[in-house]
Amino acid sequence: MTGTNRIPGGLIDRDKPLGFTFNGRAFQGFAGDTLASALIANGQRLIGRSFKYHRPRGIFTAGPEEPNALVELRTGASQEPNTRATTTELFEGLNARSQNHRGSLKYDIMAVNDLFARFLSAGFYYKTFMWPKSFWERVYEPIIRASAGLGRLSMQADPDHYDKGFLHCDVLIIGAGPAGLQAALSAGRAGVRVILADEDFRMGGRLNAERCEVAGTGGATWAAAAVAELESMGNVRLMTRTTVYGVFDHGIYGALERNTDHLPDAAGAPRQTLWRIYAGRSVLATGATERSVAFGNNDRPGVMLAGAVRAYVNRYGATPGRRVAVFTNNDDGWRTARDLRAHGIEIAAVIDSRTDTAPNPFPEVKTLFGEAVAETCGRGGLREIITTGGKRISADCLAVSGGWTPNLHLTCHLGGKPVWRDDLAAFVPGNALPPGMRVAGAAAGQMTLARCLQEGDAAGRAVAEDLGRAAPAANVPKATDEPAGITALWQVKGARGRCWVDLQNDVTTKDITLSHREGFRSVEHLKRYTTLGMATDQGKTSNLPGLALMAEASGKTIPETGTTTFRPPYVPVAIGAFGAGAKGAGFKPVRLTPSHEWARDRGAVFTEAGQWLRAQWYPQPGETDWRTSANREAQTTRNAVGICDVTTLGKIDIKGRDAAAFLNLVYTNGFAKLPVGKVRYGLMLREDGIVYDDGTTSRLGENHFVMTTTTANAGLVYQRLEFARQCLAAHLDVHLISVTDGWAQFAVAGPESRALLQKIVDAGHDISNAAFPYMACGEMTVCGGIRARLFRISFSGELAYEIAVPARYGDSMIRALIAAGEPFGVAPYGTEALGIMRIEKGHPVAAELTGQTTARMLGMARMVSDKKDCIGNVLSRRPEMTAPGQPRLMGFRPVDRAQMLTAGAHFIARGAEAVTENDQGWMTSVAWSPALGHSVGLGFIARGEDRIGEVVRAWDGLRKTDIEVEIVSAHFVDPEGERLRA
Amino acid sequence: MPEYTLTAQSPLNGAEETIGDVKIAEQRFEIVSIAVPQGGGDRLSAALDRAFGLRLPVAGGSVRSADGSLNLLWTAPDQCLLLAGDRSIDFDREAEAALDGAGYVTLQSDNWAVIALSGGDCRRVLERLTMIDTGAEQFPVGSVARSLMRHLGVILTRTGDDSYLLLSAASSALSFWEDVRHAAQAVAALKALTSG
Amino acid sequence: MIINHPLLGPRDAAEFTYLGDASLLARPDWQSETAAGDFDAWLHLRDNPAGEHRELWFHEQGDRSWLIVTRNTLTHEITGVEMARDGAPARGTDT
Repeated sequence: MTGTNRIPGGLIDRDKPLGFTFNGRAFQGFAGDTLASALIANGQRLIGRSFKYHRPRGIFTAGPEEPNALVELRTGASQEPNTRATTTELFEGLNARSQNHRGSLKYDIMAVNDLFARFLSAGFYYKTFMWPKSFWERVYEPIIRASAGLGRLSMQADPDHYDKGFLHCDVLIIGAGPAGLQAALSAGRAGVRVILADEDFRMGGRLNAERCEVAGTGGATWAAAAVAELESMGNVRLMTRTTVYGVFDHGIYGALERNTDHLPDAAGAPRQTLWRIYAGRSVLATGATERSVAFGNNDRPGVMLAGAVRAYVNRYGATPGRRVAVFTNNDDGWRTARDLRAHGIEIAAVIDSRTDTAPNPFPEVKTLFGEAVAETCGRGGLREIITTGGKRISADCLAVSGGWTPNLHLTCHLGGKPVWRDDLAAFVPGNALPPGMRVAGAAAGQMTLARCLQEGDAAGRAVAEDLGRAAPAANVPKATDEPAGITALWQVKGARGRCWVDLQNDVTTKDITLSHREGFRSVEHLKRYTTLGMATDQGKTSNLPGLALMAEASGKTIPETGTTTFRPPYVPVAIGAFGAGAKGAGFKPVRLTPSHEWARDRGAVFTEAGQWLRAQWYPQPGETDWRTSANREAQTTRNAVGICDVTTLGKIDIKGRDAAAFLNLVYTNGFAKLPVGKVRYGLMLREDGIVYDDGTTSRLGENHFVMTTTTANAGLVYQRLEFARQCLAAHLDVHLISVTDGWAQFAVAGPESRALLQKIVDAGHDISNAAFPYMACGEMTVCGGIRARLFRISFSGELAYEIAVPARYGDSMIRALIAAGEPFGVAPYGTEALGIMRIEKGHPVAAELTGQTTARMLGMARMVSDKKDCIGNVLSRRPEMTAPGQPRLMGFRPVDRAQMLTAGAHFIARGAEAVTENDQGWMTSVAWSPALGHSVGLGFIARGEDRIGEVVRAWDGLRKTDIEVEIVSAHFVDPEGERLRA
Repeated sequence: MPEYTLTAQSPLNGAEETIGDVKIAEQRFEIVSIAVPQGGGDRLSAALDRAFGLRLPVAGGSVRSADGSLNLLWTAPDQCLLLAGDRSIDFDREAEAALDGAGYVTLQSDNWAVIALSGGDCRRVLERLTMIDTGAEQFPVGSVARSLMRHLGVILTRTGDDSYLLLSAASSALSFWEDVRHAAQAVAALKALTSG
Repeated sequence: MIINHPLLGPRDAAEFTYLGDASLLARPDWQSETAAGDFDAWLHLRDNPAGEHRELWFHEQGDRSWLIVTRNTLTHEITGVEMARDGAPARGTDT
């Protein structure tokens, strides 16, 4: 079936027929059609049902401003609601369905809403659904949920993937109509780096929709030639199907490129690409959007914008009707009559609301001046119009032109305000444009063809001159300016029936009057009270008429009434595009330790530590509970030997003549006298005196240190060190570089750790207790000459070392260590066992360093030297921080050893009420200690250092426990540190 | 005879792939950072010249040795990164000795995963990865830029007309490889759509 | 937002981390008699200008330089960028 409303001509390719379905029925279109044009060609007028009243609706426009023809496109997981048929390129096998009806499109059950229209006017939900109160959840809400919303989601995960990218240019030209194409030509010929973007799949803008002449040839032909020339320029990048949706600071623009929406099969390509475009300059050549007039039942299928009718007959070879009436308040509407005539389509009448226009240019066509359309007739589709003069005229299509509104949205994204022009009855861009932006053509209020070309040329050449490039002499192709007079008409006086303003949200002139009457008179209130302009079309055809009507109701001028703010995005953008690349594994990078593969093969359970994956425990066959595994690992380490990958802790290499002086500044304790070959624990404060990180720093040479930080804080510490280095002590010769990833580092801990390491460290390096005591460090070789570093430090409290080799040997090293440890019954241990052991030793970690913790609270007040400056020194001595009664980190054990302590519990005296006034502190970390056979905890309690032996309660309101605990030393295991120094 | 021997692995295990008109492949270098002592820029430049036939690069640039095996990248006002082909893991000690105290040398070889990107479409791939302007004229051969690529820090340098090196943290090498691969696949898939 | 790095040219703000007012560069003398009050004021008291603001940015994903950026908090226009090293008050003595 070729389509009952096909006419010859247009930019479609009749050699490429395409089959598609709408509501299950098969149709045919051609390459170059949109879904809308193909439906029009096939005589399909009814496309959907309106949002609130479920009125029959048809295609209204030919572009992204479409409010009515929203369809559900594709099936399955790719199904997408609210797709505008007017911008959907037709492809073979396209499957579209109408939306928002119960039952068939033709016999929508919900059309009953229209009968109750007077109860469903703007804001009706603020005045209803209140009584009886019990009905709200059980009756009203379910009904509202069922009928609210427009379109349905597939409820399946989006199967497509999206992409992001970054582009740079000298000038971004937004819109490839006559102004944009000419600007691109002028700038491109001067060697300027140009990006030209257009939302359509074919560049040319209105040139493709109008019968017009440029440089002696048809507009569309000239546009195609311009595109060909631009394509040949290496400094010009053309982007079709690309909407520039937002302007951001400093010449940054957001653009959405639709890569595969027009194809039946994406074949693995990203569906859409979100581009960030860095453009020092831009030319906004986005043209203008036509608006309608409010008259009775102006929403019937068959009522369309006059410019859209031209687009269909000129570009798409499809006529929306066989007997078309034209209703206009301006000269441009007459072009529709002229074009229909040229295509041999019967014109029912031309109705011009103005009384001051030239005599009838089409003598054979019925013309009415000074009259307007009062209402339309035809259930399900236009049949007849009735004028204010009472004339009844039969027509199956009514082309309406209320004037053109410049698409200036992007000029307002950075806060600029548009200005009103009476002569255009529209807003044009104001003076405060985004830096670097020029506006050309209809977007600037220059509504006619020759002016568009001139302005585009001027803009392109101005950009070239800005950049110091020789601009070619002005070479504006010849064209004429069509007549463009207009007399504003927002609503027809004497209209009968409801008059629509916002078609998508079903907002009528009555709603605007109601809004005014109820006191919602500012445009911001009008918008939110009536929902005018809040649908997916963002009010592109309704914002201006809406505020004009509010102005009329208020007795104010339009500039006095103002306009709502435009913000990005200019068109709806899929969340998937903003989140491109961040789905699933792409959400964040994963950092793996050198022993990861080995650990995984060993069955380790992993945990996230920042961006790292760390082994949490290594279950052995038969172990079903994490505690069993972790306890075994901790006990094996304390009784024999355990190995833990500690690569993740930040390692910062520090070199320089003044490296020691630098460390004295950033650490609370002294490092200048640390001998070469020794390690020292260091504490770092914020300038407000709060502890924020701790670690060990080793001196490997006179001017060479290696600092460790906690895993989570590595980045932050690095940043603060660089601040100290560059800003606070810039005279010091000290240099930093991260070596975290470069060294695979393993803790080897337990009574047999030395024996194990003696099988790994090459003979010739003496690691006996005498030669390599506690807190020693040094460079040596292992496994036959592989360079390594050995540190005798212990987090577990056992005799322990950390051995580091270049990360390329890390996998090999863990296997060697485990093999060497077999005879000793070695066990790898993960972060759980690590945590158990450090709690048994009372070592603070992030749970204790809460951002409110001072050195005094940790019992480390003496580590803050008062003989030297350091970051945090001064404010750590504030009276509030040093007053008696401060919390102190202590150990806690349950009086009844069988009870389990909980972190977060608060300490309250026995017999006291559990209220804030009686709060003495809180439990920060707990573990069941395999070494002691009962639960232990660490926590802060006021004056804890003077209260050892006292019994208090650990009260946990969340878990509903209240346990008596004894205050003890935080060092539960080996408090004298004998095992450390063995 | 040591009881245990250690074998070396690289972050990407020598991965290599051709996707459309680009090739991505792991490259291995010995790498050292060289920090410029305060007030010692001239002395260091002279020492670099004597030792390696190099000099300190300008901001955003790099210097290559005559035989091409050494590539010195500017990374910070007082720091640069030396990529050395055909050297051993003790190159840092060799460099330290050769510079005779004129610069602070730190081993960095295993801190980095290095991906070589080459082929006609490499700039199309890069524009999907990096905010840096990698236009052929704007980022000439020898340029160096350190920036963000999705969520990873990356050092980017152009080594030839259509070849680049990308360096990123070794621990996130697999994510790094996936990001680059993903961009190359997008370019190839989109190209196939328009040419088909 | 774009920050024009003195050595590297324009870079996207995503490469940077913001710290705060550039007055953080003028760290008081720890041995002064009024040290406690000086440090408190230096750390905690700020003007909140609706207009030009001198602030510190760290080029975390770039060359790790600290920069002093002069930015208008109303218009976001950046009128000056200098290396913090150059703008930091001179410190003569080792600590």
